[in-house]
Amino acid sequence: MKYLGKKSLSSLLSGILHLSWYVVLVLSIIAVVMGAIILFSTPVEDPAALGIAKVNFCIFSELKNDKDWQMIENLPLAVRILFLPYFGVIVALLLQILKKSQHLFNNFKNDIVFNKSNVLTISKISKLLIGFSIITFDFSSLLAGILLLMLCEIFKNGTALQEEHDLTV
Amino acid sequence: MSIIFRLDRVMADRKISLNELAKRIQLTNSNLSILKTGKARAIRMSTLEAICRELNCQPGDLLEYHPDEKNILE
Repeated sequence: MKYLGKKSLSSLLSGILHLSWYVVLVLSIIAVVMGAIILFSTPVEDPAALGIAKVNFCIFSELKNDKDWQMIENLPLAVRILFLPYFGVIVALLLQILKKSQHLFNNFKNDIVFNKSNVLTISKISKLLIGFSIITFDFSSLLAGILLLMLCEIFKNGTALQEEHDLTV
Repeated sequence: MSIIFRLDRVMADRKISLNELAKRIQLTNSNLSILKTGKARAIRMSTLEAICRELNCQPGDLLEYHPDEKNILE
């Protein structure tokens, strides 16, 4: 299997990441709208009494019966408002990670491997991943971020060697 | 770098173009251009040998040492 160049694994991953960026963007917009409806809708005792609320109630009925959800629903409005920027930051970080990864694999697709731009991209991805892991309390992302930070140093050395090789006549 | 490759001067003396020399020593124009403009970090012995053979000169005619200001201060 080819890893670099046209019609390779990098090419496939670049395409998948490009598509997933748009998917995440669309899903996050839908999630923001739905989240806002759920978070800021007033609890309805009798859903049949309100026509619009009835539809909402039917869609989210399973969710609203959940204990965790009831705990969130009982929180004051000021605290509930804080959920939106929190999820906003997570989505923004995810989109950035996807975009940078797509850029990296696009470079691999074009046979640009040991390059200063790739070093910068890997460094940015690792920092974003570490930030993402801290916000979401995800240990595996933190480990992946640290590993990428190490990989960035390897790429830095590789770039120096590549430059040395290219400028040896 | 304090080592200067004087390929352009020797080429002018021998009245030979970059393309012609590149063809004779079987090097690409871009690589020879890197050498001529002083961007090269290193030169292979085989390349130096081929250049000396084709230009009928000594390695000393091609290479010059000019100490940097930093080196002089030290």
